[in-house]
Amino acid sequence: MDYRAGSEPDPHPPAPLDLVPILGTWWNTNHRTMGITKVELVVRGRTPWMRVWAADPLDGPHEWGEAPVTAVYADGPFSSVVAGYTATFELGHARTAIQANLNLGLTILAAFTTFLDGSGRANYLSREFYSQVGEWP
Amino acid sequence: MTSPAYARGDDRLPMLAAPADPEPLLHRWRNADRDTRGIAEVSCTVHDGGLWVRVVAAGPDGPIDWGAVPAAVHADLTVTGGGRALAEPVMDELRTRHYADVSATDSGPAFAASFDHGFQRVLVQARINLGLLVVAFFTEFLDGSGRANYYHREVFVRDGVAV
Repeated sequence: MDYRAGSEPDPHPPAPLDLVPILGTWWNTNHRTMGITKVELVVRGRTPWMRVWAADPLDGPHEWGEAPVTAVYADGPFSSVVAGYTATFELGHARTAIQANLNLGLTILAAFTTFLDGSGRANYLSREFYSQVGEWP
Repeated sequence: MTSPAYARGDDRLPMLAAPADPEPLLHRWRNADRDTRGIAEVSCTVHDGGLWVRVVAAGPDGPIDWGAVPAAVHADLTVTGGGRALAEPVMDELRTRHYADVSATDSGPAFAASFDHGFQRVLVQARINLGLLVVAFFTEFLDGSGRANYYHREVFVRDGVAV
């Protein structure tokens, strides 16, 4: 068994990941965000899918549509406790790679946006917090 | 040139008019936990105008050098800290006990990189927070070993000398 860190060479196989903790609707804890306001994760077939809504004070809300979750991560190589996931949204003018992790009942979304439109805008990271109990009015 | 498109309000921020400067990242960063069984250090350098990131892991038989890969620099919209790690206290006739709420923060850009080890792929995301480099690792096993893909996060402290 190959490894690249001391925590990886353990012989015990993990049980399948339970995806339930990442599923459902997650609301941005900051109601004044200019970024991602809400995400929704559902499972269709065996694949989790992510849907994103975002705020724009000048142009109204944007719905980004749906993208498959590309990978789901446990909290260790021999754990079955889900701890994060990744997904990528192709938005035409930009690509946003979502890298999410769970912590203390929140989902923390790191969104790496790369502009593809030649506008000269700097690529950027936004990182915001999402809860399932803070539904917006 | 056509008008730029927007997918959210953040896309309009003036700070995106200038490219992110990788300079604050250009250090050797050592894990704050000397006993880590994960990643021992991260080093950031610039080659040919681009950011490169080297990772050294803590293996059971000694350090494991992952080598260096190119990284994508991103402006970090979420910087915090008010410059507390670098700024001097506000001075007037008396030494004050508070710190200025300066707009310059001890922060910097974020980066994203990917290490492909053949049997595994590791997505690395990093950002500076209060002078620390906070790095999240998304490890995906490709070798059929049965190990779970896993997420972990570690915190790194800047070495004194820029690399």
